[in-house]
Amino acid sequence: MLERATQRYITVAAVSLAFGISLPAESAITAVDTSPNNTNVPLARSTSVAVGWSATTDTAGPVTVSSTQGMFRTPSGVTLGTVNKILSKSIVGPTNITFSEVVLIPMNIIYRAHKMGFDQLRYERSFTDGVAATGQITLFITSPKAATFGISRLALLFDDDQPIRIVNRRETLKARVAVAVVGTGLLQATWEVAGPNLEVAGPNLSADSPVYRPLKTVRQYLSAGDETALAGPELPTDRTGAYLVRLRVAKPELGFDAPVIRYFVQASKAE
Amino acid sequence: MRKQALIRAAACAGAIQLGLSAPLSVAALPPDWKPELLASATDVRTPTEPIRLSIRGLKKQDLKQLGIELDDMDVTATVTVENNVAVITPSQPLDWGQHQLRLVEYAPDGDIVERGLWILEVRKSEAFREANFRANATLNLVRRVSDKNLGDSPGKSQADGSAALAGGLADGSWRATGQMDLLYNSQENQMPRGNDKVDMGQFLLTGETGRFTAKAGHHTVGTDSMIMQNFNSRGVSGGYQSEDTGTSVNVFSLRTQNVTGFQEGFGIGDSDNRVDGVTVSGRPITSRRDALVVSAAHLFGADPGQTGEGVGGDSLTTTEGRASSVVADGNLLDKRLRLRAEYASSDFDFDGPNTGSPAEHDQAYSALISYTPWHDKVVRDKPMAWNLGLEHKRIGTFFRSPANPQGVADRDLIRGFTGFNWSGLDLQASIATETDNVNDLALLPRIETLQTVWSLSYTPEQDLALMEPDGQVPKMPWYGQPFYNIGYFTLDQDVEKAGAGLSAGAFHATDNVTLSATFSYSTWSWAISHGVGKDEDFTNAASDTESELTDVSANIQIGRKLSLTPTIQHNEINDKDNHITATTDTGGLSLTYTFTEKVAGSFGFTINREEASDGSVNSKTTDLTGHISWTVAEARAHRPGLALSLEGQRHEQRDPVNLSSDTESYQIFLKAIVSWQPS
Repeated sequence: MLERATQRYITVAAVSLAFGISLPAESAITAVDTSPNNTNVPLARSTSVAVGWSATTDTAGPVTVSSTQGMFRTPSGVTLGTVNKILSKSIVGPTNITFSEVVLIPMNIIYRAHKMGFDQLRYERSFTDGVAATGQITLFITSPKAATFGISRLALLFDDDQPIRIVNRRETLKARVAVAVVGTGLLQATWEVAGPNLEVAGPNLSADSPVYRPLKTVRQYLSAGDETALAGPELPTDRTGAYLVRLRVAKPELGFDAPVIRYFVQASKAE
Repeated sequence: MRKQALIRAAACAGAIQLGLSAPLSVAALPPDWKPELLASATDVRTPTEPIRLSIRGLKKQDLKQLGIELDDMDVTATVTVENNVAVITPSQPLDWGQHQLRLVEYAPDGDIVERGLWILEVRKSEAFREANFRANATLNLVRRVSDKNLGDSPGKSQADGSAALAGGLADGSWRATGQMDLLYNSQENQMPRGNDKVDMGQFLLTGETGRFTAKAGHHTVGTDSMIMQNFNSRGVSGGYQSEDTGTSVNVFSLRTQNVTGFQEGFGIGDSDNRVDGVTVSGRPITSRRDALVVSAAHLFGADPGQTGEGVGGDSLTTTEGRASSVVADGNLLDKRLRLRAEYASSDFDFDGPNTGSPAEHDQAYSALISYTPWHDKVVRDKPMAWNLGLEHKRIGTFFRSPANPQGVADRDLIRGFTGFNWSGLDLQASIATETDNVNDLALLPRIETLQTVWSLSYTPEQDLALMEPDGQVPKMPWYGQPFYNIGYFTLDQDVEKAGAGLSAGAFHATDNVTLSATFSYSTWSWAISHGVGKDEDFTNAASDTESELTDVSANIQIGRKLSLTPTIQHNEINDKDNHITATTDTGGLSLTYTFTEKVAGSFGFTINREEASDGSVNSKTTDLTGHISWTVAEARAHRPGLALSLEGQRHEQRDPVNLSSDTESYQIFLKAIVSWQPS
């Protein structure tokens, strides 16, 4: 890492000198590390991987360290895809700065690397504070049970197999989730509901962020190959209005938006 | 007894046709009396309209010698007599369609003679036998009368509502039905698509004529197989079904990723987001229809990624594929032996059409045999049942169907299972061995898995009399009606073939045991469960963990007015590698109280506490909800109802680790609920 950063710094310095541009004093990302260094992804399924990035800058004073995108590459350097998500923090250097990212590894990316004859691919990010350095996590391509525990797909449904329901007040209503996982591990999740009067709250929440309240904790060991449908708790139907339901998954972390389903409680016949 | 007598009489009187019989007569009636069904007072006979039989000289006391049956139900006791006319008023509206009316006479010599038999047709109109429309609509008009600490708050006045609409027409052998859900919210961002105040939920139009059916809208097609499971989406389908031969054929075109709202029409306009197919099912053994069912399916389609309503996943990979399956499912030996076999194949393009690699061809098959040696055995006066079975599944690494995105692939499984039930005792057990990398790809490792699942339940049978001698309902024991269960699950995995950084040897192990008990009483119940699990990763790629989950809940009805539902959950997860313990506690109480027929209220409280021993997590949220409502006017057939409700909710979050998440807010609403249920 250090060698690569130094080489880039020298290159940038040479170009700058050639064009008469002055360089900021001692400004460089000197190292980018990942945690974990490698993980296992399944061949014919997508999955999500939690990556911790650690970038070291030797720039003194206020500085912004950022990465504009991540890239999937083969070991030979062929680009397979990009993730256009910006990671950025402003800090006072020199220091070590960390970023957390949960990245979705699409099925077609893994498949293409395999068909090119590789047993692995890489996910890279380049961080810069003026001078860049790159870090990477190695993704070994495995069978589904050998993959690191992850969720490929979540489908939320009510008991009539639809994602939207209208029910009468005090009618019994339950939701369920179909979970497709790779690897083996403990699902840590919470069933949550919002509504009625889809309230907003708090200075950091917008009108698009209803306040969810917990209903039930889910702790379930799951393994690839299980055809898993988890039953949810009984949902509140004591007040009329619109409700949202979700399964908030704490672990394994999701690299995609958690799905939400909605129901509306209407007045029953006697009202 | 009377019915049996009637049957006997009808059998004896086989020659008796509609209308008159031999002149056996009631003493007070003329010897040659003839019953006559009077025509409906309106153009068509309606469901509640009285049925009138004219019998010359009929008096009330003559009914003692007569029997009148409507749809094989004796309704004589409800018949009134008006001016020599027997008036039969249905106790409840008759269903649309044909009904049978029968009049018999009890002769003095004990014979029962059929005096008349008529077929009536209840219709909506001359044009349609059935025509109905139902709606159930609710509109909430909400005014926020007080609040605290709302951020980007919506306006103080909001409204939301819904309408469930359904209707149908039928005549002769055809029927057409339709149903649609509508949603409304003055806050567009709270709607499913976020850009309209009014939108549609699900809808379904159906048409039937004879053996043919057609559907358009949200519905499920096909029977479950390896290429299609619970495939429910918006689309169209048409089917043919013959009761005589047991044959059915269904063609369908459904949207791959489900959609709601006023968009995409019937959901089949986008070939990149559509699955087309056909299913065929038959019962080839005509003498024993249930003995064998053979079905086949073929489908093809494209998937733009996991973008459907209520679905989360890889939305970046576009795929395309086709799949076929054949299933034979049979029962032998008086249904004690079940044999099921399925073969399926697929061609699936994992990196999308017209790019990269061509579609991968793969196959899958499954075979199941189960046998029930005891299903009616009686031991100590209690029935005993026992079954056992064996299953083999082999699903190729690249087997995948666009109509089964949740489907499991890449597994070679052999599973044995058994079940035993006697005297409240129920045991279910299975053991399975499984490997992946079924296609033996050189670059991939192979994991071998051994999985056992046990579940033992016991429901003590209590010898309670239905009623005590003093007429009181018998008291249950102090512990109520118990139900006990112990569940045990183990999973051991080894790397059988090294690859991709994994060496051969132990890979992963998971054990979990859960004890639970439920105690039910006449008006309440409570339950407790405790589960302990252990997860070990021998490659040290992930931390070894131990987890515990304790769950206590109750459902209590006190009198007719008060109901309580308390719940408590406590969970601990111990990260043994990093020596961190994460604790989650969730508690809740839901209470409803009916003050009067028109006034009711509810209260809800939930608390969630999450903590980690290394200080990385430390949050607590509490939520309070409550309401009291007054039904001003109940909705009638054509009159809207009105209820007023005072509702409140309070949310508090404390997070010392992430102070920006701290929040405390409340809102109080005054709500007018307008409901309307015309039909």
